[in-house]
Order: sequence, then C-alpha cells, then structure tokens
Amino acid sequence: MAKQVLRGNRSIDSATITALARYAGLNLPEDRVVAQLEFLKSQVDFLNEVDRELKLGFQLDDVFHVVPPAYVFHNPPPKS
Amino acid sequence: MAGRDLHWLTITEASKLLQSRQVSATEILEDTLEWVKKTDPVTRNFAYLAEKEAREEAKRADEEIGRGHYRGPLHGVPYTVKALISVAGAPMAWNSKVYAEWSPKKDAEVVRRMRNAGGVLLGKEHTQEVAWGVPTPPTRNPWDGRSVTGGSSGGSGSSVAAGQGMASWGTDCGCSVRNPSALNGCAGMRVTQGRVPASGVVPLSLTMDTVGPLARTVRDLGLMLNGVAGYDSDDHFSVDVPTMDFTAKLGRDVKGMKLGVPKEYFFDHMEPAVKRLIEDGIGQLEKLGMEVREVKFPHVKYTAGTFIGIVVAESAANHDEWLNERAAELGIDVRNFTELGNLLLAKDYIRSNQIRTLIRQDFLDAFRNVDVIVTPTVAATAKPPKDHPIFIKVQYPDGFSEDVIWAYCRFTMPMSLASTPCCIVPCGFSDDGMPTALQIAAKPYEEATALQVGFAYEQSTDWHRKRPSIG
Repeated sequence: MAKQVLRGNRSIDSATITALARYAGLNLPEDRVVAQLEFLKSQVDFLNEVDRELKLGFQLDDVFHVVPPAYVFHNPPPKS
Repeated sequence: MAGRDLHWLTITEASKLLQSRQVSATEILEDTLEWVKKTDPVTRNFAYLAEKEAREEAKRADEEIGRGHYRGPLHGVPYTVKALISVAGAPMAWNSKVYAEWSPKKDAEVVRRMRNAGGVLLGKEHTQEVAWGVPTPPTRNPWDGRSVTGGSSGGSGSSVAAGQGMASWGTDCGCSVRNPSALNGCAGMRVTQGRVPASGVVPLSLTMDTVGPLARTVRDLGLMLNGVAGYDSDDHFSVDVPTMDFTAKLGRDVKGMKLGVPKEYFFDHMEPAVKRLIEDGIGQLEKLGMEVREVKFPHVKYTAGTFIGIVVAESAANHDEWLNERAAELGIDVRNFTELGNLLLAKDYIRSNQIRTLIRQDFLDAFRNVDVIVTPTVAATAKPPKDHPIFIKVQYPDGFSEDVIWAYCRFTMPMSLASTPCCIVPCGFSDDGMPTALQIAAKPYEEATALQVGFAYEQSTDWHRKRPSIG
C-alpha cells in the first residue's frame, strides 16, 4: 500500500487572504481582510477536518476510492 | 359574499365560488387590496403593489369566466411573487441598493404560466438582499407585528399568513420558502430542483435554488404547482420528467405508511416549545396510522460547512462584479459571503460537493425504508430584530446559542443538499403565540407523497385555520 499523505493541513493568515484576494481580482481593504480572517479560517478548518475524516479525494489505498461531487448526478439530464 | 373577508378565502374555496360565479375576481381583488392597504403599514411586505395591472387581470378573468371560459383553479385568484422573480415592467430591487434601478422587460416563466392559468398578480414581496439571509427587512411578522418573518422569502410568508393574497411564489436555496412558512404559520413547498421553472428568477445558488409556493393550505400548494410545474427549456436545471397532479394523493389514507424520524442533528439545540410541538405533530401522524421508524444520517453533521462551501462560491460567481465597483452599497451579509466565495479554492468547492454526495446518499438510504422523513423546520420561533437582525442570538436551555440565521436554516439545509422535496405544514404555537411547522421530506420527485402526508396532518388539526389578529 502506498504511503498516505496527510491531507487538509492548510492554515490561513492575513497575508494569505490578501494574496488570494489579489489573485481573485478583488480589492480587499484592510478591515475586510480582518473580517474575512475568522470567516475563511473556519471554512478551511472545516474542510481540513472533513478531508482527514472522510478522505474525499483520490486515495492510494487497498481499495480504489473516490467520492463523486454532487453536481455529477444532481439531476437527470433533460430529455430534450 | 362581497365585502365579507374574501381575502381570507383559500384558493380551494375561492375557485369554487369563482367558477360558479357566486363571487367575481374583481370583488375578491378589491377586498384584498383594501386589506393590504389596511395591514401592510404593519407587515411592510410589499415591495411593489401592482394595483392597476391587477384590476385589469381581474376584469379579464371575470369576462372569461362570464363567457364560460374557466381556465382552472387559479383563474381569478390573487397571488404575489417574491421580489427577485421577474415581472415585466415592475421594479426588481430585491432589497439591494446595487440592483435598485433594474426593471426587467420580460416575465419570469413562473409568472407567464400563472398568467396563462388566469392568476391575478397583486405585487412583489420583499426579500432579503439577493436572497442571502433570513430576517427580510423591513417586513414584520403578522402574529405580533414586530418579529422577523424569516427569509429570504419573508415577505411572501408574512403576506400569505396575513391574508394579503391567497398564495405567493418564493424561492428556496437552503431554507427560503420553508422557514418563512414555519415562522409565519402558513404552508410551503420546496420542490425537487428542476420541477418548477426558474428562468427569469435571480439565482443565489445555481445548484440548489428552487421556486416554490407558499399558501394557506396544503391543497392550495398542490393547485399552485399544478398551474406552473413542467419543463422549461430556458432553465438549464429544468428536468424533463412527466408532470404530475400534485393533488392526486390528497385525502388518501396514510395508515401503514412509514415515517422516518432522525435521532441525530435534527433535534439538537431547540427551543422547548418548538420541540414539544414537533413531537406532538409526529405523535399525531402516528395516531393517523403511520409507522414511526428511526432513520440515520451519519453525514448531516457536516451540513453547515458544506452548504456554505457551495453557496458562497456560486453566489460569488453570480454577483462578483459588484464587489469592487459598489461594495459599500452591499449589505454586510452579502459582502461577507461573496468575498468568502472569492477566497475559497476550486478544490474547496469540489470537496464541498463531494460531502454533498454523502449527505444525499444518507437520504436515499433512509428512503429505502420510509416513505417520508419528518423533522422540525426551525429550531426557534420568530424573534424581534436587533440593530442588525442577523446578530439576533438564540439561547437554548442546553447552554448552546447561535445566530438566528442558523436557528432558521439548520434543519432545512440538509434537504437542500440532498435535493429532496419538502412540505411545510403548521403544527402549533409557542406560549407567546408564534407559529412553527413540521418539515415533511419525500424522495426526489415525490412531491405528491410529501403533500399527502402534510394534508393528512393538516386535516386532522386546525392550526391552518388560525389567523393573526391584524387589521
């Protein structure tokens, strides 16, 4: 079995948020960076935790494992 | 019957009187307009009152019915729509300064179909800004004249409960038809996504938004759906499945049907009065002969983060252009969530959708053993707004507290992620006189089953006959 890599160990700080905002084309003033720090951190912490618990992504394990994203099956395709 | 509380008629009652010409659409409309003008200074639901156009539609309905051309149960019936549903020539501001000057040139498909069915459009009801939130300023709850109405279809819920139109079309992403129904004491329906046309309706989440009716009875929900449901080629999420008669199962015995009740998540952290009313409601369904079974949802504990991960990304894509240009004009909730949608990564959106798969699978697994799943709709009743309504804190006896937005959508978001239809049916009042409701979920595309159980419950109680002492 291949070695498992620790998933979901991202951390968020003000510099990360400023860089992400710049890349997103978003002019984020300092007060908004501060406002988003807790908001984004809680979301990333959540995803880190779920990533570790549920191993959502492709896993090199005894059994091939991947969870499809919901939009793949969300609704049957229209007939016409 | 003219002048005798015609505004309190249900669609079912009014349609019989209209078809037999015992009352005219104009009489119903004028009585309702008078009532709206008397009561809306308190409820503040109407973003736009289409008085002149409504009179023309009512007159046309009377002429057609007089000629023997009766279109069906919605003919001559006054209804409203949520502010973010397009009505040609009417303002579309949906509580946003950014969009305040926009007025669409074309009706949304749901409005077009209502016009074809002969409905009389009274106006547009306030919504939370771009549908992001639950207090829906400036609306007020008709049961006390001061509490919030829920949201984002808060104006729709309050207006239906207040007798300001027999029904309303709202939209529901995570909770937005369902908690306004529960908090204002009317019936409501979240449909399977794709059932009801969403073209011409401003989106919040492209993969979870649905258009759904609010009405005073369960049968009226079915009649509203019968009038508009079906494939819409302009709606990319519309599903070309056979349309059904949504009222077909109403009145059928529910004895022997299996009712699933979850033990985890859905009964955590609740106001005692709400919990008692929900348990009483489930007990009533058991008395009607339904067999109660426990169902398990191992992944619903991930609901909040999963929902946020999807909806912030999708709403950021929808409203991105305003963040740099006119950010100061956006409300703080819209700004928070839309910024967050810009800061998450593509893999975060995919991860969230993977968790959504697991939550949906929990529901599909549960539905192998039960016909419907019954839960609370909200954890708390409607509360008066504070400085900024989203910061109302709800405190529970177990020591847990949360912002009111979570109290009003925590129990509805899992069904949005699973895309199951849900019927909301009033089930009583707290000691301080504020309503709450059962949430009855069924398998995807089995709206008629949810309505069947909701109708059976409704007909065995009289909660739907209660009216707020407004006006």
